[in-house]
Order: sequence, then structure tokens, then C-alpha cells
Amino acid sequence: MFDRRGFLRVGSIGAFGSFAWSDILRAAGPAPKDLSIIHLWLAGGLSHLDTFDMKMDADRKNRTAFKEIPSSIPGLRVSEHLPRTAQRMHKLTLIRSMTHKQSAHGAAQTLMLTGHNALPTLLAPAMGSVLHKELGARNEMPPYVIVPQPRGNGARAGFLGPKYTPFSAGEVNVAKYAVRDMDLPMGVDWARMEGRHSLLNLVDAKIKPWDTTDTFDSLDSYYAAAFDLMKSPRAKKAFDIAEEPEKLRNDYGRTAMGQGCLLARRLVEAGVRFVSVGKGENAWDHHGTIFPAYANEFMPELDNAFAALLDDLEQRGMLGTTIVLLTGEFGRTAEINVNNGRDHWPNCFSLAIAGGGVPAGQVIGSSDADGMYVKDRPVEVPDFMATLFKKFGVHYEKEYVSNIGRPLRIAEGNPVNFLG
Amino acid sequence: MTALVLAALAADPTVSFVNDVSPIFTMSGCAGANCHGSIRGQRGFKLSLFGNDPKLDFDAVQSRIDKANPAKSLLLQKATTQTAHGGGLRFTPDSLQYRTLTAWIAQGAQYDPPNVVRLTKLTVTPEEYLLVGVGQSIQLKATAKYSDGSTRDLTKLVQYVANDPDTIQVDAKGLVKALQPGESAVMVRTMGQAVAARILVAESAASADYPAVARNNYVDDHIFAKLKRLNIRPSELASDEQFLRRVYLDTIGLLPTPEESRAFLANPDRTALIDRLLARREFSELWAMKFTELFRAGTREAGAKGARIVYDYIKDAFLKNKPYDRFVREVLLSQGSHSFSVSSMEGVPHSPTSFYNISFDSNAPDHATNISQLFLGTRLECAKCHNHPWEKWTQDDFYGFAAFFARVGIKEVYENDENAHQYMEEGFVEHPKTKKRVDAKFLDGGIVKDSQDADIREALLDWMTSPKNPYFARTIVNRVWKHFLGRGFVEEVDDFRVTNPPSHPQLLDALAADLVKHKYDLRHLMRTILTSRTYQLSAEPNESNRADSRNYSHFGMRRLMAEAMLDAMTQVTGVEEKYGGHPPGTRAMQLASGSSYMLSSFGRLGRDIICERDAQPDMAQTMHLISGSTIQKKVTAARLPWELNDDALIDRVYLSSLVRSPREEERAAVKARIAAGDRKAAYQDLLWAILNSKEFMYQH
Repeated sequence: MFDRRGFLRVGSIGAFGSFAWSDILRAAGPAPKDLSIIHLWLAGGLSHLDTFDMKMDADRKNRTAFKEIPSSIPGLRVSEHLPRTAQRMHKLTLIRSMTHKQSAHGAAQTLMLTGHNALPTLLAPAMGSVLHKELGARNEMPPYVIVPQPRGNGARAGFLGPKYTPFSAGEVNVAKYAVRDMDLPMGVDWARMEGRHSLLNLVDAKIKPWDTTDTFDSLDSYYAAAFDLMKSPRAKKAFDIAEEPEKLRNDYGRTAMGQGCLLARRLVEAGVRFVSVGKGENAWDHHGTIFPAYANEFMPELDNAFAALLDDLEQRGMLGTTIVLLTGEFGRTAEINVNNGRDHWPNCFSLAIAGGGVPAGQVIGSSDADGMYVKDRPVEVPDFMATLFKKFGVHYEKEYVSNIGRPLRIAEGNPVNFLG
Repeated sequence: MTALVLAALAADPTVSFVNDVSPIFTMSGCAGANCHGSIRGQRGFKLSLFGNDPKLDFDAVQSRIDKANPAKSLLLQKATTQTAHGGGLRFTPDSLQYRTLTAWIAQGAQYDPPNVVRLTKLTVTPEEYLLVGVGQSIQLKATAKYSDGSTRDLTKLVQYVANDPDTIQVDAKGLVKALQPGESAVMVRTMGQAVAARILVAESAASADYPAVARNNYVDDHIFAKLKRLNIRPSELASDEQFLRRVYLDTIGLLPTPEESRAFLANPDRTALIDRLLARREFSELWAMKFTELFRAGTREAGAKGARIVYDYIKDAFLKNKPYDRFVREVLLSQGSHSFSVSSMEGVPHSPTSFYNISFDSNAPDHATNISQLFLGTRLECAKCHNHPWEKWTQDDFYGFAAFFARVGIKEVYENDENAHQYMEEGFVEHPKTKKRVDAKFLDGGIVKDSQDADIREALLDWMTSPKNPYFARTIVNRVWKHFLGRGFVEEVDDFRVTNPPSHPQLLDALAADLVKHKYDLRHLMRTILTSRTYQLSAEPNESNRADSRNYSHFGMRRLMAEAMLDAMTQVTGVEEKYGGHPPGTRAMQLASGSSYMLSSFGRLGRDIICERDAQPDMAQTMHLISGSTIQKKVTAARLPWELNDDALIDRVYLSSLVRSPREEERAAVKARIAAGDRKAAYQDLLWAILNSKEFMYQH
């Protein structure tokens, strides 16, 4: 049985102890490769057929409404609505042969984010939570951050428990962006908060020694860590996206994905290991009128955010240590339905990945004539996840004992050989 | 190896692969889930998990034996580390295992002829034993009974594993040694079977001055007898204030009002209070919330409407004190529209038809998993894909149980919430291996043939709710016990199995029998628990019971349920929460579905999977308590009787929240802040401190 009590033995802490998140939540283990990952999470399911794997010869009824344009890789063409991305294809690896069998959002998202199929009684931890557990925290920053917040079970810590829960950054593309609960409430300064805390310690004085399970000690540790995070100039600065020059903010795009990606870069700079950036719950689930939605909103938003992020990371010398991953939970059907949308399709879809030593300018695998099935070099999700963990120096074959006692490997697959 | 030795081995009594060889892989740790017994094996060598499939083991070793020269067999070379072995040394060349394997290979490495006897039952003795004193030991004995009625001592041929290796140590020959006071099961495994022995460790025997402890009812007899055996002294009785706060929160999910507190403290009749609380409407709402969550009503697909129907139905059942067996029968037999709740049973106003409507594609195996776990405390999940690693459950058992729900289906209507669950004309479950249609089978083996006119779920319910059913009553007793005492006799509460024995088997049995005798009256069960002295012990540990966490020697502290915590915050400050779609004044405990940031952060479940709530602290909760809007709004806008003088007001704040008077240093600190200037700010600070305090957030 998974023991949540065995951690956090840090003794008693005064009103404002000096314990930082990193002291408390550090995991043991070998020195990792110091990578980070930013996941552009296209929840709902990106259509590969209108973006990275267009089938211009498909019959007219099901053919994409978009034109192809050449990219920076000779012979490789992508959608006309990804013009900036097209010019950066030589910086990334495009996989056109991702495949799995989960066609419902929840199950597919769980698979993509955890590498494991969902079971009714067992919930595997998201990759970000595993990185937190295996590699620990850098600085006082939370290791796993989601912009805006986790949706569905797949993004969460599962059986690893609440201490590996992702930290929610909230909606970034708003007038006065602030993280939930990071700042003291109006009218309360730190002196007053300190006063409140000393009252709290008085109330707790009698009952504190009654605890025989370390729960109260860990609770105290969380207060100390929370105060540290709230007071940390580094954290405050990392979340202060208003510091960025107007020009750069506009380059990323004043959109959920754009500002989210910019924040992600700032968070990675400050020490966060895994940042997920999304547009909202299943935003990419275009069962109807997919083409105007893509052309007018979704693709420009994605194109600007992705291209600007690659440029920005490169200019700051961070691309070598930061993986940028772009994928949803599945692709979409070759058939265009009566509502002019495309439906869920897990059997074949595309994924883009750059940075962190991933080879630049390669296309892996291919789909068949309709883009419905993998023609060449299928890539399974567990193998892809094993690859990512390996890049982080995480022993992906390690087994956790899950909440139901069933052993579960960090990643069930084996690393692929083409991602560096 | 010389020809002479080989000949001698070949002349040994015939070695059976199934009965002699395969068990070696289990006892030597080769066939564990983390090793060659894993689903993918290890380094290309895959054995069955704990020897549940000897034929598979036989096939697996074929390429690893050398009949001409047994000692050169890779199997032996690896296990003895003569060849590098990732799993290390499993046995030495002079061991019994080595000799058995060598003899089997020398005899031609054959699989057993069909008529060889088979293990039918494994037992371990003693089943329970108390070791008095660290360092003391006891020898376990494992006995096998075979298909021909013969028995054999398997003590040296089984695997022993201590569930809690900090408490006891067990060696390969079954010798158990006490390491520290406590309790642990020893799992004993071979040939796909597992049994357990319970080992208790007491620091010393109870001396003559062990105090006599008063008892209120039979619960205490069991609890205190075991404590005495373990020489652990129970804590004192909780004070009236402590009991008052505890029993309110546990029973109705609310704090007592200052007026209720004063009335009780003036006339502290605990039993009368328990009876009053069990009759309160809020009691039914608390259990409606708990069961709605257990039933996972209100998943996104099932919808808020379905959740409300389920909640109202359960609340009504508790208001009417519907017998638990009848309640479960109605739930499991329900069919009809998800939004109109038509009942299949005469005379029942409505039943929660959306019980089966967990997701669009929930099917018979899903229902089998849910229902066995919810009502029978049995986790069949593992057996869906392979035979259960620690239990007797096989894939046949799983699909046999699932077959009871083969005809549960959805009649689709255009709008999802107008869909209906129906018992269909036909439907069957197919075994994934044999691809054959499976007959419905109870967990203890009885088979029910499906027939067109009958609803075989009725047969299932007859079996489940029969007084003889070993799972049904015990499971609800364990759940209810955990609600009030913080820890189930069996933990996790839905994981009853031979290898996870209860801490107090006789008490669990007695409570279950009592429940059956009282016609599944849950209030009777709760009243028995609440009136026991065990429930009413103080949470303050003493020298003797500090280390005890599973014998109920002191009240186990635990965080309030998220709903109770938020409702209590509302009570203390007088500032209500607003929930979309609900009228003002709605309490968190009354929400059938949906949540708020605060509630989700503190453990209210999304209901997508079955699991127990987590009551551990985390970072988001802590930050929300420190500076989040929930507490801030309540603290800032608190409606206190400001007209009272400060002594009276401070008293009232403490009484309404912690159900006690302030200690002198607490009063002085608040007064000092008042004297420093802003009176209202001082009370805001006090409220913040109390709402953030462990004494407030935890049940004690």
C-alpha cells in the first residue's frame, strides 16, 4: 500500500521557517539531465489532416479546405495557416505516425499525459508529477505547472498523491494576470500575516503534540513552503508576465496559447520542470465548422505561440535544454461529417517535438493515402513516453506500487531511437 | 556432476513439476510481480504470477534446462549466480530447491501425467498469534491438502512475506520474529494460492496494575480486550466539549451552535444527544452526499440531473431509515429514464435509475468492478485481465460476476439525460480467452442460468443480501466504522481479501451479525458505534498508546470532510457560500454534484474513478487557506455579535468554532491585538487563525 505518511519529517517550524519547497519535496536519486519540457496541449484533438499531414489528393468531399505551403524542409508541405511554423520545420521532428486506440477524450488524454491506459480503479500519474517525484524541485518553484489548470484526471498526480499535484497558473491572457492565492489579501501585509500566524500557533499549541502520524508536521511544512513561495522574489518575478516587452508579448500573440507559452518560458527559466499550456477544456474538439474556426482563430494562435516560443528559447540559449512538445490526445477523422467538422481519430495522428537534443528537421513515419492509418513506422504512446523519460534521465523501467497494489512501470514502453 | 550422482537423482522419488518444481519459483521469489512473474517477464523469461499457471511455467523453462547435464541448466546457473543474474542468488547448490530441480531434470523434465494429485487447499497455522516481547518468535506451519484427500507439510516449500516488515521479520522457513510492537499479516503463497497468518506483537504482557476500563457495549469488550492483550492502555474518555464537537461533525456534518453547546454542556447526556442527531435531517444529507459520491453520480456524462435524482433518493432512504439490503436492492434493480426516475419496483416512489449511467460506454465488466468493490468490498479489477495475484479470484470469477449485468443496457434518446437504463431482452458476456459465452456466477461459485423472463440481478441480490453472505454486511460495517473511527478494520475499506485480514475480525463479525439481526438498520449500527466508549475516547495519546494507530486506543484525528469544513466555516463566520444553480443558504453537504475550488482542493471527488478521498494536505490547499478568497471573504465580512464585550465575544468565537473556552494566553493575545487599535481587524485575525488551525480543520 502506498504510504503517504512516510514523507515530510522536517520537525517543527516557527512562524516563518526557512524551509523552501525544494528542501521539503526533494526526491532522492541520481543527478538528472537538467531538462525542462513545455507541452502545447491541444486538448480536444488536433486535426493532422488540416495542419501537418494534409492529403491534397483525398476525394473532394473529405479534402481539407486549406492550401499547402512549402516549409523550411525541402519537399515538406504544411497548412497555409501555419506560415511561421512552416519556416521553422527544420528545427523540429515531426511524427506523422502516432497511434493508439482510445477514441474518447478522457481515456485518450489519460494515455497521452500519463502513458498509461485509464482503469476504473487505478489512476496513473501525469508525466509532470512523475518528473516532480523523480527529479524533485528546482529552486522554490513548483516542478509541474499547468496553464490554465488541470482538466480531467490524466493531468493529475494519480496514485502518487497530492504532493505531486500540478500547480495551476490560471488564465494568463487577462488584463491583470495573477496566480491564484499567491498574493496576500487586500489589507493584509506580511507583518499582519505574521501576527495571524502567531495566533494560529497559539491555538494549535495544545493539540499539536496529539498527532502521532507526522500529519501536523507536514501541514506546518506546507505553510512554511507556501509562505516562501508567496514571498519569493524569484517566483513573483517568474509569474510577472507584464515584465516582458510589449513587442515580444505581441509576437507570441495576445491569446491563451501565446501568453501561456510566454509564461511557460519564464517559469522554465525560474526552475519549473514541466509546463503544460492549453487553450481550455477540449477547445480543439471541432466536430463542426472546423475550417473557419481553424483559419480564423485556432491555427494563427497556435502558429504564433509555437513559432515565437521556439525563437525565444533559441535566442536565450534554452532550446538545447527545453523540450517543446505539440500534440493533442488524438487526430481527427478523414471523413468530414455533416456538420463540416471532423470526429475523433486515434489510429493515426501527428505530433511535433523540438529542443532538448531532439534531432532537427526530420519527419518520422507516414500515414496512408487518406491519413486514416499508419503506413510506416507506427509510434505508440508508451514508447514515446519512455523516450521522454529517458531523455530526462528518469529510469523509465522503475515500477511504482499503485493504490491498488498493482505494480506499474513509469513507462510501459521502450524508447524509440530517433529522438536523440 | 558425475554419472553416479545423476543416477542417484534420477532414482529419487518421482518429482512432480506442478507440486514440487513450480512452487520453487514462488518460494524463491522468482515468480513475483516485480520479477519473472511480471506481465512481461524479465529478460525474456516469463513465469506465471505466484505459480497460478504451472503449464506456462513448464513451457517457460524448456529452453533453460539441459537434460544431458542438469547442472549446466541455465535455470540453475542463474539462480545460484554461477552465471550473472540480475535477481541475485535465489538458492545455493546445497539447497533443497537445487536438489529438487536437478532431480526433476535428471528424471527427464516431464510435465505431470493427468492423474497426479493437485493442491486443493492451503492452510497456515497458527492463523493468529501474539508475540510478547520484541525478539520473540513463532514457527509457522503450512499444510497442503490434495485432491486425493492426502495432506503434506509445505512449510519449507512456500513463500512467506510480511505485510509490515517493520513489525515482524519472517524467514524462508516460516520463522517469524517480532521487531516492534504492532500487527502484521504474513502472506503464505504457493501454486497460485495465498493464505495469511495474523501476528500481533506486544511490548510486554499486561501487568497487574493494568487499569480496569469501563465499557459501554460489546464494541468496547472487543476493542479493550485486544488492547489489554497488547498491553496498550486506552486514552481517557473525551471531555464533554470534545465529544460534543466530534459527534456533531461526524453525525450531521455541522458544528453545534453556541446555544446547542450550552444546552448539552448543562446536561451532558451523550446517548440522548446521539439519538437526537441520528434523527436530524442533516444526518440523512450527510449520508446522501457520501453515497452519491460512492455511486459516482454526477460524472460529466451522467450529468447534474442524474446526480440530483440519486442524491434525493438516498436522502429519502435515510430519512425513512430504509433497511440497507432493501436500499441496495432498489439501486441495483433500478431501470428507467435517467431524468424521470421511473421505478421497476412497485410501491417505490423513485429509484436512482442513473446508478448504472456512469459513462456512455460503461459495460458489464465496469458494473462488475464497481458493484463488487462498493457492496462486497472486493476488488475484482485485477482479475479482469489476469488471475488475481493475491487472491483466489480468477478471470472466470470476474466474467462470471460481470454476466449478471450482461443485459443492463441503455435505451438511447436524443438527449443524453433522457436516456434510460433498461434490462434488455438479451445480452451476454464473453470470456476474453475462451471467447465463449459466460454463465452468471456468484463469487462463491454458484452458477445462475439466464432465462428470458427473469432478471438475474434478482438472484444476485438474493445471494448478496442473504445473512450468510460473507461480504455484504461486513463491507458496510467496515465503511461505517471508518466514517466514525477514521480507520476501517480492513484498509482500504473496499479491499477485503484473505491476505489483508481485518484488525478485529470478531468485532467486525459481531457488528455484521448485529446489523443482519436488526434487519440492516444502519442507524442501529451507528448508534452502537457512537455509544461505545471506544468512539468516545480522547484523541490525546498516552505514553502506552502513542505508537498505536490501528487498535483504536485513542481517537484517530483526521481532517474534516471538505463539505463539513466549508459548512463549519460558514457557521462560524455567518457568511454563506454561493453555489451556482442552488438557492442561497445551500450547504456544501447538500450539493448533489458540482464543486467549488475550495471543495475540490480539499478532497471532494470528480467521481470519474472509484477511490477514497485523500485527506492529506497539499500546496494549493495551504495557499488557499492562507490568502484565498474563501476564507478571506468569510473573515472580512464575518457577522459576529459585535455588541458583546470583548471577553464575551472571544468566548463566543471559541465556543462556536472549537467548542471550548479560550485558554488564558489565547485570550490575552487577542486582547493585545484589540488594544493595539482596530477591533474589527483583531477579530478578523482571530477568525483567520482559528479557521487555519489544526484544531478546527481536524476531527479530534
